[in-house]
Amino acid sequence: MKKLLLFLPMFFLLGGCYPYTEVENMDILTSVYVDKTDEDIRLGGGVANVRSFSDSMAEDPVSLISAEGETLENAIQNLYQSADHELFFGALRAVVVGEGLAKDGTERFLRYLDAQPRLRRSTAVFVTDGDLEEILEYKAINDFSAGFAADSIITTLYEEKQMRYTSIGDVMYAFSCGDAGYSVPHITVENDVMRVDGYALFTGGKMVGYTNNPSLLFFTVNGAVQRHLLGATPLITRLMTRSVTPEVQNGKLHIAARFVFAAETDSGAPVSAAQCKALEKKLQAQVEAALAYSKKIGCDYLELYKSRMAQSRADFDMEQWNALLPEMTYTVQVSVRAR
Amino acid sequence: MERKQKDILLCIQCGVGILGFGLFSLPTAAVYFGSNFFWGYIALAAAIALAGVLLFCTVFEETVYETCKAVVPRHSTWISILYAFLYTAVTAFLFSYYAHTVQNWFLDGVPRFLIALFLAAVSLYTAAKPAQDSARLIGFVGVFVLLTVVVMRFVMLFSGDVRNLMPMFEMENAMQLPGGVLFLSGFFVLVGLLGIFRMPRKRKRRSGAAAVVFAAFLFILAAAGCISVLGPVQTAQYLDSTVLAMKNLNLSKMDFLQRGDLVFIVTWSFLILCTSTLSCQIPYRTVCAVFPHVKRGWLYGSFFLLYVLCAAVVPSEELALVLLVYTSVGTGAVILIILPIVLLLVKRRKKR
Repeated sequence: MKKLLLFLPMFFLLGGCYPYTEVENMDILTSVYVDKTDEDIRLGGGVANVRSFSDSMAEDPVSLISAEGETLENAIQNLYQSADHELFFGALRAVVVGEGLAKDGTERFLRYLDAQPRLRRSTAVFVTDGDLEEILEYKAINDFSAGFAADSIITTLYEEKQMRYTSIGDVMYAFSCGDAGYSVPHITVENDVMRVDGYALFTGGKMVGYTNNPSLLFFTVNGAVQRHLLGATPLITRLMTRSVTPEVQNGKLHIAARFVFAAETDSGAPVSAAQCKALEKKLQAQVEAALAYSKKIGCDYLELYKSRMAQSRADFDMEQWNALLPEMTYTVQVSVRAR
Repeated sequence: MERKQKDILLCIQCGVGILGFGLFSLPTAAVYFGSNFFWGYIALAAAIALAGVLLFCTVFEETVYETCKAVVPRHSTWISILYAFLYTAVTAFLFSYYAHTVQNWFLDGVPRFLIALFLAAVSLYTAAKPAQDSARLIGFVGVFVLLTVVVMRFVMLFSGDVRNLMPMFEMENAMQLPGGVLFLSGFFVLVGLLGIFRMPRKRKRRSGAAAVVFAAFLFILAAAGCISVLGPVQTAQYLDSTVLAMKNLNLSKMDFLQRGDLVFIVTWSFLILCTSTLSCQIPYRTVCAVFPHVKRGWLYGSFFLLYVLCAAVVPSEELALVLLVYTSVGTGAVILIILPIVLLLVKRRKKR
């Protein structure tokens, strides 16, 4: 009997029996969007309509909620007031930031999301210049909602090493390194098709540029894959080794980058030496263009600072890293081998 | 064969205690002091603690009360009560810290005193059982816990960016060496205590040393995993950097670990229960030795109420951790660590 009494408290902890919230009584956010217009901050999200799973009178799987406010705090407050139930952030799949707010600064909003105890830090972040509500209303073909669709697209591309996946955790990492640069996939919906068309580039939480140069991946994703069409021959290059060595001398930054790629064809046909040469030339130009753009906008979106920190964190802390970028010089060496 | 099995059981118990005490906050502390030289801080602290633990092996042939009786018979009672009181406080703050972390991360709807009630009931029940029974239970659960923890740390290490671990050493990272190493070694000594408490005399040195060496390995691995995922700055900034690092992992991308989050929660729960059980034992046995005629039921109930009350009263996780550190490796170390060493030295001198 004593033993039984001792284990009685266990019943209070079973499956969250107390105080539980039925799933119908939660507004489960699958995606969140935020943007800034001239006057207001617009904030909203796609709420999973859990009744539509069982109800044959099929409603949309996702309902939109939205709110506006003069400040971010007001917008958040209004969003909570416009929701039918408690907002649940644990199932969030995508955070979509409009370019208006991206250029003004996303740090406060992302830090607010990060502070939500249920939020997965691996949630994907996107930027768009399109109509946010149109993206959220996007009817996914195989997916449950726009948030899931965006996440699925970027996850598939990332697994194939063709795109970069930027999560809230990645952004928080960049914030923890001061004004470090980072890139966020840029999505758009055109002709009812959602796609990732490039990257928004950030420094210190503010969007400072845009690029669709695929060589960004060579600096940030191991084993990055790129598809090429040389003449009529489709070719694939895969990043095999990467060496990025920053050197700072007399306040001048020099980057020595070396990349080795393996080239192959889809059909398995051998890749000729001439094709390798042509690919080398193309990839070299791409990488140099990426470094030149980083230099031009003064944004380290190629994450060169990570290599510098790996050399010496103390020196990195002393250097004004972003101030070094406009005067940066670089040497790039690309070699392509047939696989 | 039987002896070998028992040795493994002891090592598992040590490992569980080590993990439960330091897994959530030790990477933060090590990286706060040593940044990327965390491995050096942990290794140095372990080396210092090893000497301390080997010293303790001789002290804890019996409880502090019995050692006191041999050295200062007149004052043995109050010294032992002070020792038991402080260890009780450490355990109470540990319960409070656990109750807060469980509530913050998993059971935010459940009142904190209920979580503490559950923890205290199970831990004290197991602690009051004969040593062999609780050792078997913790040993059995511990295998699962340790294996999972080691696997998860390796997953964290290689899911992040290993460049974050570089450079392994910079002069700037050694600036806080004395303070950092002393802080961490105090922790290791407490861990070593858990490893050797109530062990047969011959095995104390072995299991105490094994506990500290194993602790050093596990914590270097845990801190490396956190740094790889979060980077040194975030690891040092956040209180529960291990849990935060887990939240960064996209487990849905890992075919073999799709429900790693569930495994993590189960392991975590076991770890907390096992550690709270181990830490309940020292004050419980000490008080039993000082007051052999006290009814066990009253003693049991008093500890139970104290632990639950403490968990309910301490208002925040940060405060619970500060109090835990203050009473164990901070000022409290004077009684928990230095007092037994002094007793040992006096006892040895008397013998000569």
